[in-house]
Amino acid sequence: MMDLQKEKEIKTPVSYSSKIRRKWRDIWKYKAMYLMLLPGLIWFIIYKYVPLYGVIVAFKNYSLVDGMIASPWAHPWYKYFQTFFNSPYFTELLSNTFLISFYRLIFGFAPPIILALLLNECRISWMKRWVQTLSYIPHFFSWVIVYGILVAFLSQSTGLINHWIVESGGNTISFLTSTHWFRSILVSSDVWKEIGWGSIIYLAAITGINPSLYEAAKIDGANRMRMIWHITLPGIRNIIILLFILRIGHILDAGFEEVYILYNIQVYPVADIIDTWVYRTGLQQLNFSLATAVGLFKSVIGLILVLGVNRLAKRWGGGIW
Amino acid sequence: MRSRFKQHVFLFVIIFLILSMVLAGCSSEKTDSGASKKVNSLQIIETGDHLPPKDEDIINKKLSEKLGVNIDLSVTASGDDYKNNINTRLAGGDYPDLFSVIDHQTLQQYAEKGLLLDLSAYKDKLKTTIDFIGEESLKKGTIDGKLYAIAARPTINYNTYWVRKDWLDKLGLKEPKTINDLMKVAEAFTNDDPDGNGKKDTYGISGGQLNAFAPIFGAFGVGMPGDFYVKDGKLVNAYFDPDMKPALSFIKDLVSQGVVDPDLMANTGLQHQDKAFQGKVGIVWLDWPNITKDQFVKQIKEANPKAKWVQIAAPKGPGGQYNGSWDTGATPAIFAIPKGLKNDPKKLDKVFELLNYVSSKEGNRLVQFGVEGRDYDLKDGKVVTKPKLDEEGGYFWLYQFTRRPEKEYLKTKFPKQQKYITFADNQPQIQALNSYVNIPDGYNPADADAFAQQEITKFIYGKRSLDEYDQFLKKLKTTFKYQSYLDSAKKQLKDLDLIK
Repeated sequence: MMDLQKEKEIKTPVSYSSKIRRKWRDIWKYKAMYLMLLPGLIWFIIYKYVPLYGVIVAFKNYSLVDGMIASPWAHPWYKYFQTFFNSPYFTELLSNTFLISFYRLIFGFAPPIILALLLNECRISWMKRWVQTLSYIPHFFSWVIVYGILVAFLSQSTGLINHWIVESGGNTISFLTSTHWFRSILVSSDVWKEIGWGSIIYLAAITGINPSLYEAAKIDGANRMRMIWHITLPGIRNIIILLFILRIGHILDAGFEEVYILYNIQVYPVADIIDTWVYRTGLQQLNFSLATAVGLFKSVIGLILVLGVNRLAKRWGGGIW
Repeated sequence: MRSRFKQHVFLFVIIFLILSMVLAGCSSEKTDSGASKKVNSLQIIETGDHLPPKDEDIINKKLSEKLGVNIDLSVTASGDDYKNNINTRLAGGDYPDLFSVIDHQTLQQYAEKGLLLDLSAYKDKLKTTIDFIGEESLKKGTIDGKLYAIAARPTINYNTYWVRKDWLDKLGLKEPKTINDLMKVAEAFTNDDPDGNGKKDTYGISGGQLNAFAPIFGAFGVGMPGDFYVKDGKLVNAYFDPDMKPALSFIKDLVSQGVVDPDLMANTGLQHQDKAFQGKVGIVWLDWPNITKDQFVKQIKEANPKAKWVQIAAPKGPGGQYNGSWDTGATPAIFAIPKGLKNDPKKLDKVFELLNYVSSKEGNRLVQFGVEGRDYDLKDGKVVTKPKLDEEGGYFWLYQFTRRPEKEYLKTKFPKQQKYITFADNQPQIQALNSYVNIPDGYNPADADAFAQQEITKFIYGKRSLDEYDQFLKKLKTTFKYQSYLDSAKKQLKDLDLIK
């Protein structure tokens, strides 16, 4: 559809009013498509745009009894942002959040792509099915269960791995309670949990590649690696860029659930992220204005990053819009 | 023509979808404004566990019959989850009719946010309840002179150190009497293979995080980190107690000897109990119910028939002998009523009626021991329990909103455990005053507590030298505004006549 419109525009450079008219004509022509879009749009309006007015809570001394509208304005308006920025933990929180997010991006972004490529190349179909199923099952485990598994393996006093280490004459390692190990454990369990699920979208994109391209390449004598490099990867390039940009937008979401479940007082210096702090200081103490202010701050940073990365991607010929 | 029809159907479906969404968004359950209507049910939420389904819940049935109202109780196991749950409900305007409040500071928060009904005006109606909980507990539900909650009758201490007697015997050791004995025993339990499996896979001490060291702090005459207590006639905060440093230094030695459960700080819930029962640790800080109730005795025997646990007195140290600290201001339960219930006087009366009933002689006996003839018999006015009570009585306490006469209750309900109950109760304790102190404005307890706990953990685990303890205190006082908390605590406790 996009291509069609583009072609037309290029062919006939016309005046502004006729452009609008053409646009309406196009809309009318594809009305079924637009209608299909409508429920989605309405969903977004009701659940994503209308609740946006709740953002005012960040600028008010929100009181549960008075409600959002009647609560008095905070004075000065940036009071709750200031509380956050002035928190003795601000730098620690920000750097932990960024670091954990970066590690997850670096170590968590490529593996699903590689798995998808491997699965795509796998010619034994039962094996492909099994590997795919097994690899995405962990996605459905809640973090509480993952924590249980981790404790069973890694606990210093009762864990299986430490048991083996002691058996073979080594010293126990405090995987779960030491600042050295925490982030590695967190990120690797996250990668393990999400790798299969993440690969699904790439597999779907790969099936969309025109098979005749592979046939042509084969006739020209390309081997498998060549085909992956020159056909498969470029074929899913747009999806990769899209997901990357969306992921960047969530860079300040370092994963509340997993951190909250895995951390303990000993690893706070490396584990405490913005969201866990907001949970403790904002939500648990009914300080909703503070929680909202921090949420808004995160969103603004996320938006700036998405816009920036998209711009960069466009320069390289990608980009979402 | 056909395609037209299709389009119509399509459009219809879409409009339907939109409408249903909009309607779903707008519709909200109208709550009855009460005045004319009969009260159907009371919604109550609290922390707790093992609440049976309603049709097996005999207490619920009896209470509902008695009061002529449906009692809708729901419980959440973990305190943190509960707090989340109730906060979300309060934020969403979905108020229960009666709910438990986790601790005094939370009560203060709710009261300050104007969420709670001031019960001062209803004291007459609550007479039975107030007489039952007593003057002291009444104070604990009062903030700024207003009665915001019903604090339950006080309870007694359940916790002590428990030691593996069979391990002591095997290694030819005596029950530890001093903290140095304790260190030696812990070392032996770690290094001398007490379970005789030829592997070094046991540890000395475990417990739920820092609580595992409560008697050690006590042996130095120090309360738990953060506690307020009176020492030599003066109000002291545990962090600033000069004896805190030696106590930390001793604990640090314990940790560096490798005799402490390495997952100590990550223990949540009752993980230390598991480790004790599995034969991984030989000294554990536990409450008597969790080690002497029949079900646990059975578990211990199943894991290892030879295992024998004994309760030991708090070990002596340079600062005396205290089995940890005891927050005299804390109560086993605080129940509050949301402000909005004022507009529904009939329902409010029902809530009062419920509170009064479970505080009355008849009602309190019901929530303590169940139904006469089924769970207990009355002989000469005394309660004699029947086997049925053991079987089903595990959840009755959930209905003891104002709790119970603790000692008589435990005596009657746990005759087998009486020895352990008295032993734990008789342990000397440091009297902490924490729960009497309200949080002053501008002090952020979440940040300060997190910081202090982190640093204390660092000191104990040797990640930070104890030489820097004074720097820690300074930062706590200034950056985290602990000084304002200290000053305010002193003033508040003076106003309450708790200190001079």
